[in-house]
Amino acid sequence: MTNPAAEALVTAKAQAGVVSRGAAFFLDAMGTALLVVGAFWVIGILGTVLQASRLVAATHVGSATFSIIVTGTFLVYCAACWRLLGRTAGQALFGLRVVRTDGRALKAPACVLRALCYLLSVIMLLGFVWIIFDSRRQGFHDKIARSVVIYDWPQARVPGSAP
Amino acid sequence: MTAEYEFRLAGHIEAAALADFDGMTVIPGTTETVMHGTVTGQSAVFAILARIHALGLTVLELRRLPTPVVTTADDQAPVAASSPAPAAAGPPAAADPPAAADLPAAADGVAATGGSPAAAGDLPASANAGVPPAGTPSAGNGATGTPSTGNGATGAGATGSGAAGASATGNGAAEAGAAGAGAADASADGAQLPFSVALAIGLVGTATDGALAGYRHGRKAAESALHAVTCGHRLPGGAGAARTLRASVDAVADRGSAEFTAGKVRASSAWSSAVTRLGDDPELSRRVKRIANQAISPIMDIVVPVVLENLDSQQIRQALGVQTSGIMDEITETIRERAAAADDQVERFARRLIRPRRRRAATVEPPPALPQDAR
Repeated sequence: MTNPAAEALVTAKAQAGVVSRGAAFFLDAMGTALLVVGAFWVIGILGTVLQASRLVAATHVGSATFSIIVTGTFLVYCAACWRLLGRTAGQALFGLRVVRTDGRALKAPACVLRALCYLLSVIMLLGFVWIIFDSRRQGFHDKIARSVVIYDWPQARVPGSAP
Repeated sequence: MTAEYEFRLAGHIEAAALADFDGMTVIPGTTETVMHGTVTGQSAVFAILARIHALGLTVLELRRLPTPVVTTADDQAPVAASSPAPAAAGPPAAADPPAAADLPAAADGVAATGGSPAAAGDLPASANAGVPPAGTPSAGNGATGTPSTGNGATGAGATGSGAAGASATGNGAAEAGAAGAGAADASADGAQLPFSVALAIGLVGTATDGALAGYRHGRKAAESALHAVTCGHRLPGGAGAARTLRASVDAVADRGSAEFTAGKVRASSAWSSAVTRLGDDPELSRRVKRIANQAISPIMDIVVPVVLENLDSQQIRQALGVQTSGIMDEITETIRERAAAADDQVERFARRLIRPRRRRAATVEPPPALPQDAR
């Protein structure tokens, strides 16, 4: 069941392009990586102060493990932000919002699915390149989760207006 | 009453300068000038005194000569200067009360007519000492032997003339004095004029003379003004003169306005030149900045604490928050707009890469043949 008003809102709001979304994605990824590094640093200091050798040893991880941790943290972070705020920090900076195709907010399963589908889109970056050629500017993860990313700030352009 | 009188005047005066005094013989000296001659009546004496005063001369001595004896000025001057002193010093009041009673009137009259301190000081003494009483064979001190009747006539005439002279100035005073003297002389032969009558006659003469002088000056001024308006502007009527005057004022005003405008232009150009020079000269700019900093620093030291005292911390935080939020909003909006523009540009570029393939594909396939009826 669709909400005509929400669909009208999605129609009225222009879907965001690959540059805005890619920049937001980059900021979120970098922020997550820094957050994980900071967390490891704090844990290492605490282990040193508390003389907990296990905590100190836990911070010494390999790159693969570190990448997995960062990716997992990033996906959890994105899913939580979409569900709670409708946007991540990077998307908030660029004035983006993730909504369903009918204009309503994403539900938790859709948020998790969309986050997991990031892994699919990352492969050869095809899922993100597809945004350029798609009429609704949807990547693979958007197609699967039935979501769109729209410009959402007061002075955002509407479709048909001059770029 | 005809008698021989001698007027001793201060300074060297040429005879030609005193030629108007008819019947008078002038003997110029180095320091004094003696003028003597026959005079009829006391009024004529005072008329001569008035004319002397009108000429700005100083009367040192006035004597009535018993016999027509001519003396030189240089010879008589020391005698005249020395002889009155003891006579004026004391004798009148002590030796002859009637004469002393008459002298003040005569002294007042002559002093006022003479118009100068020297004459005022000398004449009473001379008159008292040097003028012998008519018909008095006194050979010693003239003052002591002066009969009251003779001095009384002289005093009356002198008073009338002196009163007139005291209330007049310049030539008008001299003429008024002469008029008063003449009025007194009219009855001098028969009876004495009362003091009040002589004073009134002198005042009337003075007032009349002043009024006539004022009338002459006013008429001359009016004629000059009329000449300036009618002849000077070469216009027949007052309206034309008014128009001419207005045109002149307008011309002056226009010239003043033009000069004002030119002055503004010159001031503006000078200011621009000064500003340009200020901007071009690094040394001058540095000095100006240093002076400005020196001037601003004390002001900031005084003003900033006062402003901070008047603002509480909440207002400051609010103001800083609003300003910071405004700056961040502007930055964020700029980033969003540029990102959105980049989205469009990337898509246009990508689609431009794809379209040639479609066009090439379209050119390979032949276009469908249009039906005959569609043409």
